[in-house]
Amino acid sequence: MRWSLLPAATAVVLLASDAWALPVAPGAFCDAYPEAPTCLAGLPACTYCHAGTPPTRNRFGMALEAKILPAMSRPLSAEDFLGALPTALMELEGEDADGDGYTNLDEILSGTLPGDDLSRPDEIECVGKTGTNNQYDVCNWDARYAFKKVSLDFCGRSPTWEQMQAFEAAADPRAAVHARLTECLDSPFWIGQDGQLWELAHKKIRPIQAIKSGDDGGVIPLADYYDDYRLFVYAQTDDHDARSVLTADFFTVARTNANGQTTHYDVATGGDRTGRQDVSTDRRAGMMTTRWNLVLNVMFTALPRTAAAQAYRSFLGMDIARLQGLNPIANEPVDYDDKGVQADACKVCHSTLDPASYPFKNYQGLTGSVGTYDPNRIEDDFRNEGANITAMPEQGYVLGQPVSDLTEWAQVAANSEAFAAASVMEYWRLLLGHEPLASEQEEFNALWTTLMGRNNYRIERMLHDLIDTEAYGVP
Amino acid sequence: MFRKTYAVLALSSFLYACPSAEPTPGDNPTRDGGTSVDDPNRDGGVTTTTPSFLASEKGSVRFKRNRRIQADFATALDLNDAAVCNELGQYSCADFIHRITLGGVEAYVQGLNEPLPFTSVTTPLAVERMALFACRERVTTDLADSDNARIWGGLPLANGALADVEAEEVAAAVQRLYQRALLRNPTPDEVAHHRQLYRDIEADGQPNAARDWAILSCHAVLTSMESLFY
Repeated sequence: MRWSLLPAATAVVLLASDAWALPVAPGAFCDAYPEAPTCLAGLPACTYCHAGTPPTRNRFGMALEAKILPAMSRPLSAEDFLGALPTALMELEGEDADGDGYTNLDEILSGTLPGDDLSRPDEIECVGKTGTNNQYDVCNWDARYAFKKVSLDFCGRSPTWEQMQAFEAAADPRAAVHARLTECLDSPFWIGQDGQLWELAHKKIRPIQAIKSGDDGGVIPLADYYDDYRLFVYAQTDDHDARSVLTADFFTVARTNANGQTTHYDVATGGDRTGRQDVSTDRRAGMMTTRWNLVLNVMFTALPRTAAAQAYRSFLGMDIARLQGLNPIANEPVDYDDKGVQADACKVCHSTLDPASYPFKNYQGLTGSVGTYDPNRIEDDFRNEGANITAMPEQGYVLGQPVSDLTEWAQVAANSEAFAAASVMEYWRLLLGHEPLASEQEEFNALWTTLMGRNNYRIERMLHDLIDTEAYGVP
Repeated sequence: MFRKTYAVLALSSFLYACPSAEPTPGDNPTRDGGTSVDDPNRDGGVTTTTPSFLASEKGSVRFKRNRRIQADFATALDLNDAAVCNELGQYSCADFIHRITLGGVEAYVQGLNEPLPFTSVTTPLAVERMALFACRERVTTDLADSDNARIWGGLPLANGALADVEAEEVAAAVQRLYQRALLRNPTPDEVAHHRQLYRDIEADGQPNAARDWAILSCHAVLTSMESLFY
């Protein structure tokens, strides 16, 4: 899918006037346009057809709504809606709902939003341009531009005048750019504490110093999130598998040089000091089962929905609260903890979220033995949380696939297209400052598909490919 | 003191935003980026011209944010990162006092896990404070020991003033500033702008016109679009 639209895209859900009635719509849209970038690694979201909060529609949504069984009273049944949607979409293909000069079909196939006139196919067009630029070749990948940009992005500082002079004399400028990247990927600015990779991890870890234990601990020391940061950075660096953030059954340590600067990360061995981690090795699932993550996101809940939702956000790029990544499971939610989630307004999300949360049920947050895996957790600590609470299974679903426990959840998620696309998206946003434009979609898709293939989930290899893109290297 | 000077600086900043414009045949050699430098009494009157260079279609530039700005100022002026700017002499501008306004984050206590999406209304003020602080450090050091100066060495000084603003040493100092800060040589027009800046400062009757000029020239270059964005 055009990953940039993922947050935006689940909104086709809301095509009918009953905003929560039709979670099948994104899938139906992608059945009609499987080649659309927004469907390549997921499903479209709300802003594809809606403006702001559903059910308010944008211009494409309004045009589409008018085409779907206009003579029938609203709300439509899911069956009626699904039956009419493909034809309605086809009838709109030649029109230009947002009036930006591009047909709806052109926008669907190029990954832009057919209901937003500011989102449009945008090719960089240098043909016919005259003049020169004494700094850069603004129509092509420019090594001098890339060299400076790599230095700033990964080393945190511009090259010196002397370094630029040496670069200008290089026989192979592109090779010199890659050499600079290799050098900067080991810089304190990139891998050190509070470096760029640490900053990327902030949203996933959501640290709170007041309850940190260990170094730099707070007044109520509960768990040490430095383990989480170190595991994340380990997975992003050197020849390490990026999927470790979800699948690791180990923890890592930072190695430093004589100046105290971090040089690399290793898997912790017996002599290395890490924070307290009490989940047994066979039950570990990377950053999802660290003591910090369990304390923060499981806390006192029987059904740890927050933990599952945060994992979707952090590692799959999907915010279920924004109707992203919905894969409704039949007969769900069961509502084991009596929270009323079978209400129409709730089950649109909870038919995905609850089955994704069941595999977390045996991981202790702030109850029982904090930060452990306890197969009797529900029976021992949450017996009064609902009449059927003890019937809650450990088996669940992630991305629509059944899983037996959290370690399998992690494997399915880590091997998904969604994980690869979300991983690349993190760096795309960091290095380019925006989500992929329509003209950049092809390069973006190539990066995450290659991450899964030739690059074997090695982020540093992906970054070498990323700096070779026109999106990065054309000034 | 700085009334006229700031007007010139404003023009200079505008000029530096378009540094790639090399004069082409037929261009007015006294104009660059639409500002006139041939009238020493003139300190306003910006005119707009079509750039003579091929501009980027993408036009995508990014603010360097706190740590890159600190590092680049330090590199340009050969200062330690920690010496670039400290409020009250002890609180780091980039890492503490102006950290958020300069695009930094503070996740552990304030819960600010990502930089603010836009620069704030005080960001230019914070950047200018950093630049002014760092430039003052460099100029003070250079003028105190000209033989080991990084940028402002060899100036023809006489009683705090430049004895000859047209001297080659003045152009050489400006060239070193550009090379270190912007990684390129200045255009002839840009050198002329800096000389004009000195004339305007001197016309204000300041006792240390050369020092003021060196600091403000440095400030103008370090706070240019070309310096702060990439």
